[in-house]
Amino acid sequence: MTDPVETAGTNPPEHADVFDALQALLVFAVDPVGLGLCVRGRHGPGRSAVLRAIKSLYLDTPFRKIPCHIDEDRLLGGLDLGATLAAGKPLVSQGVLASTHDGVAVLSMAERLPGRTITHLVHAMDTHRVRLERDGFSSILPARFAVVALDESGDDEPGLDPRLADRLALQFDADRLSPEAVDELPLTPADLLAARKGLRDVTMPKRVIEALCRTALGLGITSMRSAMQCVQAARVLAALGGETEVGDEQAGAAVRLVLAHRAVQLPIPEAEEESTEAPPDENKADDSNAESTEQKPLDDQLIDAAMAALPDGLLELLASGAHRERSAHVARTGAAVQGPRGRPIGDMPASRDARLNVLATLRTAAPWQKIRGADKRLAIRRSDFRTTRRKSSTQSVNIFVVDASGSSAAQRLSEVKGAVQLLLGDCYVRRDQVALIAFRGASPELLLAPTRSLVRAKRELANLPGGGATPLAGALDATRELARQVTKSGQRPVVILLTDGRGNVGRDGTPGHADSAQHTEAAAHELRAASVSTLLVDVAKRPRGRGRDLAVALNARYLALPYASSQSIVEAVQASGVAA
Amino acid sequence: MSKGMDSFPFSAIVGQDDMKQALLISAIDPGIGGVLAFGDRGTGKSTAVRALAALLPKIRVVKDCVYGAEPLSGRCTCEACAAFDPGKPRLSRLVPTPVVDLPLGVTEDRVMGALDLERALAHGEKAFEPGLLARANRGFLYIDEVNLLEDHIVDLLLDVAASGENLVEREGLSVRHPARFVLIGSGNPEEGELRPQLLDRFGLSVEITTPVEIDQRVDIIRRRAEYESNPEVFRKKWSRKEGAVRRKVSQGRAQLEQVKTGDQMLTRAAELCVALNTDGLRGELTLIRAARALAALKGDKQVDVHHLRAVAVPALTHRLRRAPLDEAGAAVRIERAVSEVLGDD
Repeated sequence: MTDPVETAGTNPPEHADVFDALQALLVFAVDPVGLGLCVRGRHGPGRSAVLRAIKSLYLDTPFRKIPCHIDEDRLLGGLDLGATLAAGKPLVSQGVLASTHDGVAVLSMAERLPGRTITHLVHAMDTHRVRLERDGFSSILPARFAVVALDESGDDEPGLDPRLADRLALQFDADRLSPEAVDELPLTPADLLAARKGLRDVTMPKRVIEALCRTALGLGITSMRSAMQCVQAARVLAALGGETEVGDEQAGAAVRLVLAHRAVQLPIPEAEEESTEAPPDENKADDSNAESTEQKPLDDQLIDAAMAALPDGLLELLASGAHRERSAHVARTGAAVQGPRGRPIGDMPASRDARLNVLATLRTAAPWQKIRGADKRLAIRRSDFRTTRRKSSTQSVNIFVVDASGSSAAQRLSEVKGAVQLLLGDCYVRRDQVALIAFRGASPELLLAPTRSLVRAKRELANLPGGGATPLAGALDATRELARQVTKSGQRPVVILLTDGRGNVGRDGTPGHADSAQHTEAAAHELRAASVSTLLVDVAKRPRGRGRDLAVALNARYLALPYASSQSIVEAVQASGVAA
Repeated sequence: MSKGMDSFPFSAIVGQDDMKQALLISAIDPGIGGVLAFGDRGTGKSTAVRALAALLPKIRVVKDCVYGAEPLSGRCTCEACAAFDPGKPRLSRLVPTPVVDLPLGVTEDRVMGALDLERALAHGEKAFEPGLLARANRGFLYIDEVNLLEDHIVDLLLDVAASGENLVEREGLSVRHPARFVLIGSGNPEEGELRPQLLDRFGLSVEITTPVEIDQRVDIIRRRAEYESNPEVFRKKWSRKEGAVRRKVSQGRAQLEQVKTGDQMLTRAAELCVALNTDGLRGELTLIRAARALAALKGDKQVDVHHLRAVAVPALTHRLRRAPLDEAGAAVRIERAVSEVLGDD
């Protein structure tokens, strides 16, 4: 799964990934047969931990590894020649499919399974039976099992047979998972039983089903099965949270888990953006907090959810110029890394019968991992425990903070602008608001207060001159202040900071080399304390230096803007399906 | 599976009208030669076939006959039939129309029947154990993923389908028995082509696509979920509609003989096939038969242009020669010819 393009670098530990994977694992555990799981990645500690976890959940059931070279006789069963000769009457040997009944079938190197094996396998998955009509035997045996496919194919390889992929709802990458995180899967057999029992009573409002259907089609996923799996995953998530009706939040999470990795297109806005100040279907005022009864907002939330789960391929795309049908989104951290919300119940003695909401607890704990010094084990504190469903987040405001100083040389600046243009296109698709802060000379400047008008954002960006000193510390302060206002108005700030990390102006605006670095660091710590999702795009010619340090100080996702020509930016713009 | 009692109700299937119509027509006139349903994954092809089993009227068979022979006229070689005096009425009973699944991975001995191994080993007897072809006699033989069927099994099927009887010469046995069945096949063309000889055996072919209408998709999901959560209750809920479809099929069967086909319609059908340059007479015959069965299904006494129009695509799509200069798909070409020859609706 490592990208050949090295410029993108590695990111700090990805708790968003861990969270998604664990969530997929939990959902799988509740309805393993109905959903199915594909674990991507090579043999390694993460993958082993996943298999261990699944094994521990199904202690008393068959756990069969099915090798990719298995032959038809062993798969389906047939005449047992040895036993037949010994007994003097025909004896049948049961095939692997039938002997996995009520258990888990693990497909090693699933991407290499031959077509015929797939045919038999999916037939058993669909009918929960194996029809044996071989060697004079005729029987129907029960074969109801869960499937875990281990997919070791690289990014440029075909991957699973589409028939199998279509039937496995959940998928995640095990490469980035730390075994400790999986081993401490916060799920007891009692939780599992409760969720399975609760699942029967979970209802699904028609409006949510409609929104999920529209979202699937919008992402270019035509398979009926995927839509059904997504509905089922949403129900499971509700059951895990102790709910009896699927709400918007579970729908969003189900989209991330089931649909995001299948997306082949972005829902493209129909109107030319130059002619519209706001997205076509929103002719209301900039009142983003309106929970109207129309379905649009939910659709948008679901699309949001899918986008947030897409891999961060955008900037790598710039470097490689590779055309992918996928576009990525910057604020990937946004969906999983959020400040704590909901109602903590404080002290939780075991005698209390409040049900722990496992997912919410994990999500609450995710952003604090680094601060708590968690390197591999997930550090979950009492304060993370959640029993209530939290209101789902409203709208994101993407705050672009652009370094236009001399250290970002003029030609770099034009590339930075190109990158921002691209990201703006994404924001447009997601109906996010954007704000723009630029910094050069003595102090940062708020070029654009939060708005949905991309035209204005682009105009401001185009007119942005470059050169001068770098008031980085002040820019961080300004960003924190804007983020605070955004949070106060009930929206979720996401910061995209484009800089080389070399500040040379103090917090008060005086150019002073001596303590500007400390000032920058102090400002960074304060911004981090506000726990705002942050992405730092390193625009240095030779990334990895101060930009990286700043990302660590901010606890931000880190990406290096590769050295790209404006031509490749243009190509990438077209490739991402967003009109330039 | 031939019970069809534990399947999703036919009447509850959302959309897929082409496939449903083709299956019902086949149920009314088995002589049309079955249905091939080709198309996208996850569109409920096999669901529809399994649901059809529950709609088929019962048939009368000779008691204890392994081939389900017809009591009045069926010639049969089995022990049960041989025990009756010729010329005397044979004991009979009503059984559901067999719908037999031919699973992939089936071995030849189970398709055609073979030496009964148990009796041979235990008692040294040489007895014939009938296979799936025997079980499917006078019923339906369903092959899911028909395009993935192994070649030697396909050959065997083609042979039997053409002659209507199964001839077994193996392991020192020599047995022949009646094997007339309606072939139903489904598959996804992306996974492999169908041999032309086999394609030709199917009376009707329908192409199945994934619905893209939100309302339809929502209905599919909701009905499926309702069915999964409690199949019994769901079937009860649909039992009246299901009963109505079942009655239509049995009434259609009863009235099929009385449906008239005027000379004008025969001419029209011939003109259509000429215009499309279809291979041989089979297309024309299928077209007429399917139009008659559709009239019977709808309770009409006479075949008219509407019936021809409605069955033209399923009856002819798979019988067109490739037209090198015509880029359009077969269905489009048929639609064009239909509006030229039969006029528009």
